[in-house]
Amino acid sequence: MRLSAAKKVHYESGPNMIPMVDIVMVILIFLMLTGTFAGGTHFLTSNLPLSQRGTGPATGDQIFRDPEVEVNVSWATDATGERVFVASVGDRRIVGNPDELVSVLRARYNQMKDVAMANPQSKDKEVQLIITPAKSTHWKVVIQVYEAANEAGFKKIAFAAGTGA
Amino acid sequence: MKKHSMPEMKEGSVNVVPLIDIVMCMIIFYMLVSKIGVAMGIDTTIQLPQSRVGTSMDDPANSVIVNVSLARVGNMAEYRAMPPMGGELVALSPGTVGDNSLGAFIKRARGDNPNFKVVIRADKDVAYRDIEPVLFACTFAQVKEYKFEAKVPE
Repeated sequence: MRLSAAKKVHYESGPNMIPMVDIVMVILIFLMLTGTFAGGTHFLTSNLPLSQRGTGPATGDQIFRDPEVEVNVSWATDATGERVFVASVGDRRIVGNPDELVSVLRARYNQMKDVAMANPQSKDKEVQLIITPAKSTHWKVVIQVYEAANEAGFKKIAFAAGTGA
Repeated sequence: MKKHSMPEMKEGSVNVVPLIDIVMCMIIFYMLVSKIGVAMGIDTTIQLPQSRVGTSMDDPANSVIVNVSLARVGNMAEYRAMPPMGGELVALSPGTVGDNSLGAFIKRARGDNPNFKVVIRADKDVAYRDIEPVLFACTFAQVKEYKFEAKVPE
């Protein structure tokens, strides 16, 4: 009789988990409600200063510049009322078609990359892209062009002072 | 012949050990991947543009976030940033003149740090004319690298 009572005490001698579960559940709910996930955004990098034109003679740093491609950006509204980019690269004008813009920019990049490689004075053997948006261009439209430039292979992307009013 | 009987039930309560295992895993997961109350100087009202490409922020300690929102202050957008020492977001004026100007603020935040970066967190609907003052201020403060924050498409 005494032996069976001892056995019973042994089975129930573990720590009481209930308070711990209570606290852990409170912590879990707090973290789930207050935490914001680190993901969701990412960053487009530019490591060139704002490009300014016509501001006097070239300085020593500007003389041996890498070859440049310039893209002028403005905006239009498509049939659904959505704002789309109007990008001019040389004599090409692309309206709201990112794939076409990527392919035009890629062709220009490859062409100018050959020029950069052949030029012993080119510093980084890279091609710079200068995005010149109209002042009224919406930021999301400019970002679409930046995105296309990135996909086309440009590693050096700069912005120029805006055009128009 | 020996008679077999059902095994004796030794404990009457629910076994909470698997529950604790799972809950602990979830707590560790949330602690690792979430940011709780970390003051980054972010204006949460800003709707970021989307971009398929982009990199992660590798060095947040050496950067300052400049928020460019749709709210208007006169003819310009509202520029707000958190001072490097922390605290509330402060409103900044475009240009480089005055203690509260974008140029002076970024220059002060940069100090002598060669790895300093500016993160431009602009609303998708602001015009480029409102982004330009931040780029001018970065050039004025001799910041070598700036980043544009964009939303990852869902």
